[in-house]
Amino acid sequence: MAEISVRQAIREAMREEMLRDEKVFLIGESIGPYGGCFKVTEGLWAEFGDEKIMDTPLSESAIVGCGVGAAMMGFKPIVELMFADFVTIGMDQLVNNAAKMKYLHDGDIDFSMVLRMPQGAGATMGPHHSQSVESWIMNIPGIKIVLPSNAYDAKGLLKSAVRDNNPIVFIEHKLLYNDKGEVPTGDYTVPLGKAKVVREGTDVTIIAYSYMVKIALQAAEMLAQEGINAEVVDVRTIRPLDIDTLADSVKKTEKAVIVHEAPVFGGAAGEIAAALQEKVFDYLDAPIGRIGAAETPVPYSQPLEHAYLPNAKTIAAKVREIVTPRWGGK
Amino acid sequence: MYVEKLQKKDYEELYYYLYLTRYADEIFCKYYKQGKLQENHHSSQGEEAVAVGSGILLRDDDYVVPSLRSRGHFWTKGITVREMMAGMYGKVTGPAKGKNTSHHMGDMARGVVCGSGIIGGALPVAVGVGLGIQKRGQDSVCLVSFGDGSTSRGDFHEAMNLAAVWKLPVIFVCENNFIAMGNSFKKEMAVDNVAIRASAYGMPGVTADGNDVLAVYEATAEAIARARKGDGPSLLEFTTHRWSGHGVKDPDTYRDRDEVEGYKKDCPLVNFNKHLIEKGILTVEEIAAVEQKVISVVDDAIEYAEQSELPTADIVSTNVYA
Repeated sequence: MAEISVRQAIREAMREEMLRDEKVFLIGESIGPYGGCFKVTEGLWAEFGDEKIMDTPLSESAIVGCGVGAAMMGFKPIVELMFADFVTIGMDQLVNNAAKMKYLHDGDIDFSMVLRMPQGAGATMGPHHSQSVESWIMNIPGIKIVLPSNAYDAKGLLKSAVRDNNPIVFIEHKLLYNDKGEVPTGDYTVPLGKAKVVREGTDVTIIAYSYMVKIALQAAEMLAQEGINAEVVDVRTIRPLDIDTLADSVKKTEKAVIVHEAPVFGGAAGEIAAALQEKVFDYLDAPIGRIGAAETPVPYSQPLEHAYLPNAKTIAAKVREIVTPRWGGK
Repeated sequence: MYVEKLQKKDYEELYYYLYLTRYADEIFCKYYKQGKLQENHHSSQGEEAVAVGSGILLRDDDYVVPSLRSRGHFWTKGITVREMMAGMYGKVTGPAKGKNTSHHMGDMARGVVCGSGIIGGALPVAVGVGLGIQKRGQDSVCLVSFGDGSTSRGDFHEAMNLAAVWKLPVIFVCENNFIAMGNSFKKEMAVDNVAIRASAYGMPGVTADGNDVLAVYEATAEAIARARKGDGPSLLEFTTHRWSGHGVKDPDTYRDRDEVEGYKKDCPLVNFNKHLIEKGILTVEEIAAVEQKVISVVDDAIEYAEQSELPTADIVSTNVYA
């Protein structure tokens, strides 16, 4: 197996899917000769040309809506937004058209469309290029939301997304693009709607997705030095949510901390915590902990941005709070 | 002139759809007020010629994105009166088994693209359909209908621009009734007409009389021919007037009564009827026969809708996902 970056993994998935299925094509802003805002599509235009790698004007509503129309015509567009923050401008097309087409035809329509967008802070890009948007989209039945944390999953999940007959929001994290991981050369897929235990442990379950999986693993290493053995579960798809895998882990550890980069209030952690307590209430030894960013816009300057973001230390601190016996121990 | 090629049966068909739109609309308004219908109706009385005159030109392999008041686009693309009526009643025999309204229904197999309740929100989708046509290498077109109100939306600008940049076979049909719900035209835009906006996108912009079904036909035919050749989109503006309030329950108190009564003197049905008689295309008896056919089709649809079942709660969660 070769080591490739998340950026390369996503590019390979798109390239292979375009070669496999002539219905697949890409639309987005400066994704052609420029190679995309984060160079994810670099090289694809040279190989596939204007017909498959379609540069668009700065028109997020038209771009997403165009993806909707093309999907209704039986094509499988992969639509790229430069930054996830820009989804606000394409939101009407996503919410009122893409998400509802299956239902409004009572299932009698093809609808395969992937909306890719990079999100997340940590690159001093300021309040309009750093937000985490998944919870903005979570409350919309009809859409699947995928957030890969590593190169292997990124490629396999994106291939599944392209082959899925639903609108899919595929959220990449800009700090993960250079992260390398082992990825097989042949065709493979990672199923949507399946979480994965990425570190086994016994004392507490840390639930995370996207870039926060990496940070959660760092926190788990810190905690291991103190004798706390944390299990880390990567959610991978927050809609549909694989609550069973999360619940199985928590049944074992009896404690859970949920981590994401978005602010906690109204974030995915609240939904996951609620779903978990319905499944494992009798197993829980402590309240479910939630960790996220500060309740502020994403600040620009590095010290402020660091203060805004969750990190391994804040995660570890939350875990300690959870695992400390609250009533003098069992 | 495309109109010159019209045969007697084409004139009959045009009149059939004009009269159907009017008669069905009268039923929709009356029955909605009586509480028989679930779907809030937006009357197209006075505006029938726009959808009929443009929709009649579409082939089976063409697409249409109807708008709020363009029932004629459904009829001319083969959506039956039974389906529409069942939809108005909210019955399981209506669009998507009662999950969608009839005025936003879609059926890609018949080239009818699902509209949006967000005014102007369907324009980018039409561009995507146009892109799909282009990618398939077909000489089909996608005709998207919208009102003057939509032209103030960013989606209008984005869709017009992208369609022009990619030279897509999209026909933008603006049914300009000079009022956006309750806001009058002069408060909507500082330009004199909608068509002038086409120049900003590098496509032809044409204004024609939307109460003259043949003028609508002629302008649309030209735009379609251009699109089929691969020469890209056009913006067509058809001027017309809304005879009633925005929705059936709107008493329309914000417009001058004399003004509205004046609009009724320029009736697209009367205009066409006169033309048919004066030119000797159809006789009074032949016109009456077309009207009788419409009445029986609508009567049948009412019976069908009334006898149909309401949807049952067990399907509420089906087909959200594939």
